Amino acid sequence: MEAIRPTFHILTSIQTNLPMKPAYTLDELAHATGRSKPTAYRYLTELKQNGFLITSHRGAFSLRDSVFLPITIIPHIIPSLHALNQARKFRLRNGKSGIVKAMKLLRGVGGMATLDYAAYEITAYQTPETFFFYPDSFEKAVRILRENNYVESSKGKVVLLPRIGDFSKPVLRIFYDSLAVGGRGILDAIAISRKYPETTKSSGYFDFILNLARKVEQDTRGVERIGSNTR
Amino acid sequence: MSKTREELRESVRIRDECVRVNSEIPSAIFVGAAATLAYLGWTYRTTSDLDIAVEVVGDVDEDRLLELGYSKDPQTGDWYTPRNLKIDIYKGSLNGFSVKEIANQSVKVEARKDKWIKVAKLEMLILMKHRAGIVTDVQALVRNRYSSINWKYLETIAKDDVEGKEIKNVARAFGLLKQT
Repeated sequence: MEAIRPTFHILTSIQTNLPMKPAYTLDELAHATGRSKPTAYRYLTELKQNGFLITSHRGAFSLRDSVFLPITIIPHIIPSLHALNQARKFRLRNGKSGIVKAMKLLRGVGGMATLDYAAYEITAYQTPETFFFYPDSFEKAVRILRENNYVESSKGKVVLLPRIGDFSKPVLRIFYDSLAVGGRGILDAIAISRKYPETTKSSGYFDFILNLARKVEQDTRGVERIGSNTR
Repeated sequence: MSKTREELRESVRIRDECVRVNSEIPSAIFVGAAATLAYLGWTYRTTSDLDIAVEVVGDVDEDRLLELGYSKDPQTGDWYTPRNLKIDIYKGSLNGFSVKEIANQSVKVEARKDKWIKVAKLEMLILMKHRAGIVTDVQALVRNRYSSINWKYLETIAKDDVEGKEIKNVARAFGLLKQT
C-alpha cells in the first residue's frame, strides 16, 4: 500500500480538476495538480507504474478511465492494474488472432480467464474481443504458446497476465479486473454487479451508487407505467 | 469456454442484422456501435444494440415499423427489430450533428459480400463519440483508423479549435501525430 499512497493525491487532483477525455497533455496535468511540468511528469511516471497509463508520447497521454473511479475502490483494483501493466500479448505467426486455439492450449496449463470472455460468460452483455488469461504457470503458458506458432505482438488478442493479488473469489476478481481496465470493462463490471450483487458488495461506494441507480431505474419505470395508464 | 464459437459469431450476428435493417429501412445510416464495428473490422467490443439516424421520416413511421415486424416495449418505449435486437432511431439530430448532415456525409461500407450499408463518416463518428464521452471508442477509432482521418475536414466540423485539438492529442498520445 505504501507505494501507491502518493497516487491518491494525484488521483484526487485529476478527479477534481480534469474532465474525462480520450487524451491529455502534460500542461493540463500540471495545471490540474497545481504543480510544475517536471513534477507533473513525475506524476505521470507514477500513474504509469500503477497501471493507469494507456499510452504517452511527446507530452500527450491517455489514461484508463478507471482513474476516475471512487478513491475507496482504488486499493481493490491496484493488483489488477499491476497485472495489466505486466501483460504479454500474443497472436499467431500467420497474423490471425488464434483465440480459439489458445483457449484450448491454455486450458491444459490451468488458470483463470478474465475480462472480455470471462465477463461475457457471466453476463452475455458485450461481445468479447480479447482473451485475457491468468495461467497457473506464466512461463509454461508462454512456452506452450511459442511452441504452437504464437508470437508476441502489441496488437495480440491473446493476453497472458501474471497472478497478482487475490483469486479466491473468481467472479469478484473478474469484477475488479473489469473496473481496472476501464472503458467498456466498466460496463462489464456493472453488468456483473447486477448479476452478483452480494459478491460485489465489497466495492463500497461503487456498490452503493449502483444500488441507487437500480432503484431509480425501477422507480422510473413504475412512474412511466402509471403515466401511460392515466393518459 | 463453452460459448466460445457462439461469442465469435456475435459480431457476425450484428453485421447480418445491419444488412437486414438496411433492407427494411432504406434511409438508415448506422451511427453507433455498428458504425464503430464497420470501421474497426467487426471484431471490436460492443453491446448488441443498434443506433440509426434516419432522414426519411416516413421510413420509420410507427405503423410502418410495426408492419415490418418491429416491436415497441410499452414500458420503456424502446424499439426492437424483428430479430429482437434493440434499435435506437434518431430523426432530428445526434450529438450536435443534424441527421441531414449525417446522411449527406455518410459513406457506404460492404458489410457482407455485395451487401452495403451506410455509416456515419469517420470524422463525424469520432466527434459524436467524443461528445458522448465514450473515451475508449474515440481512442480505438483514432488509433486504428488514423491514416484514414481527414484532419482538415475534422477541424471544419469540430465545434471549436479545442475539440479538434483534443482529438489530435489522442493521435499524439499514441505516437501517430508528430506535430500539432
